[in-house]
Amino acid sequence: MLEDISKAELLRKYRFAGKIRLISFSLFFFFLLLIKYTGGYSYINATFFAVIFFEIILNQPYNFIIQRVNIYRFQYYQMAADIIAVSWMVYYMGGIEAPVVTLAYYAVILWAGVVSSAPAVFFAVGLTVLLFSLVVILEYYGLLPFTGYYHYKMPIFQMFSVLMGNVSFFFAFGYFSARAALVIKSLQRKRYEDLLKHEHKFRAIGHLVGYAAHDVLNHLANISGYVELLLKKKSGAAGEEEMIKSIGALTQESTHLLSGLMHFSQKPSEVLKPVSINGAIEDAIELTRPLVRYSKIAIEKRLDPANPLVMGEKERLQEIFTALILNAYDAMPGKGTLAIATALADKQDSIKIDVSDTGSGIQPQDISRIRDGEPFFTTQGEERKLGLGLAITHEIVTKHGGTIDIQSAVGKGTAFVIQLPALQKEPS
Amino acid sequence: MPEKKKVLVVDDETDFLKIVKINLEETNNYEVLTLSSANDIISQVHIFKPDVILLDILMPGIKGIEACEMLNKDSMGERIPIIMLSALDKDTDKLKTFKAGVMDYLVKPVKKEVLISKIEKHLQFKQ
Repeated sequence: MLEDISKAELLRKYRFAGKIRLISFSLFFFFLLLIKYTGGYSYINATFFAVIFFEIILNQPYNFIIQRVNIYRFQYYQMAADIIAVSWMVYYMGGIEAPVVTLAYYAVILWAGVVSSAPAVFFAVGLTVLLFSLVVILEYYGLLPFTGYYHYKMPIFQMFSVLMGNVSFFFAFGYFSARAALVIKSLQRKRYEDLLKHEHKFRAIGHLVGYAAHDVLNHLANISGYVELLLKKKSGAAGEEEMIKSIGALTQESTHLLSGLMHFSQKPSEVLKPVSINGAIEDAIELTRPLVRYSKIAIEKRLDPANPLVMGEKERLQEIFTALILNAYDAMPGKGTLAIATALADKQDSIKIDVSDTGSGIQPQDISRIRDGEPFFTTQGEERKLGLGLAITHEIVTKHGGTIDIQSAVGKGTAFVIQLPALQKEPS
Repeated sequence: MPEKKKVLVVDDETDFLKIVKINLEETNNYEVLTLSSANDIISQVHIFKPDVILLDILMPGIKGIEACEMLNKDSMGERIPIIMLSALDKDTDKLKTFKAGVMDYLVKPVKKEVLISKIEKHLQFKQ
């Protein structure tokens, strides 16, 4: 999922960057035409224009190519082609005497940072340093024909100073580009995480809505049936009061089902308030009731009424228990028992919540990934992704200053033990 | 007076069972037995010997389609027409029930007259 999003994002960036390349290369092309015919620069010859024109042409099949190749590999080929083209231009425009053209290297390094990633920056800087040094040194020692405009051969010390100066700038610029790449990546990751959190929630809501709608439709059908019967009866006839009471109860039940879903789908208030853990668990059970009711899963509750409150976000705490119930539901496609127990922990400073199921269990190697709260990790396949909630559970528990532990045996079941700090009573 | 036809109604909604029972029994043509789950459907069919069965799809425990398959394997059950009654209105749900051997499918809420006409149609067909 994350890979899909980041790939789509990379493609979007590449399409945008392709347009920027097209504009900048075209401008460069016309700029060279202008200076050639006004300034008479002889080294700007047909081959030179051909290279730049090739870069422009390269942009045309760009959108076509990036849709069909491995975009992660393609970006390295792209950078390599750009750096080779820039090196060639640098050589043609005077090698070490062409400081203006070396700016194009910085464009490629910046591109790598903004569009791609930190490793791509290191690749771009490495290749730039290698090719630029080769051009300068080979030209200096006459292994490549001299292209300098001023026909002045620098002393070796000066040549190495200029070369090292350029190389240092490439590395320094690369460092900042890589930092920028890391910042951009972390911002993107945060955005994806938020996106997936919502996706998980909406997936859960989507699943619950189907069952809740079924129940509400049944209630409406019954209300309609009672009304039909009442209309045929004389006022005060036997059973009339009972039917009216049933209509009231069915209406109330429907309202309850829909309001539970509505509250769950709302954005959390982000306001910390004293919250009853037992209440949050009851709300989660009620919310998932239409789903669990039609399964062969029995829910056993042992909620200690003497539990102190915890300081937290009520909606988010309810989300934890909803996620754990849905996870257990997924883990027990056949029969099963989901046991939820709360009690004051031994040290009396926190509430211990034990949620255990008799489902398929979790593989030992997967437990540590869930325990670490690895985002987007789920033990379930594409079809049963309600378990994505485990990462969210971990995040919410940690945010509330709590801990979560998982004990699981494959084929026997899983137990989640959550500890949340209890709200200390103020001394009276 | 003609003999009353026996209708077995299976649904986890007790209100629905009550409404169907009242609607059918007040015509004086039917004797109705209601079950709030399909868990004992086979034994109840053997005791009550219904002429037609009205069955819900989504129920705790044994689901409507499972019950249907069980009835099809039963010597007495396979000869009784089954009408599915459900709040589910998707074609895929309907197809599943027809594949399981259901004769008809009605989406709740069902008008009394429609329900009775369907029951009558299947009773005539059975005869």
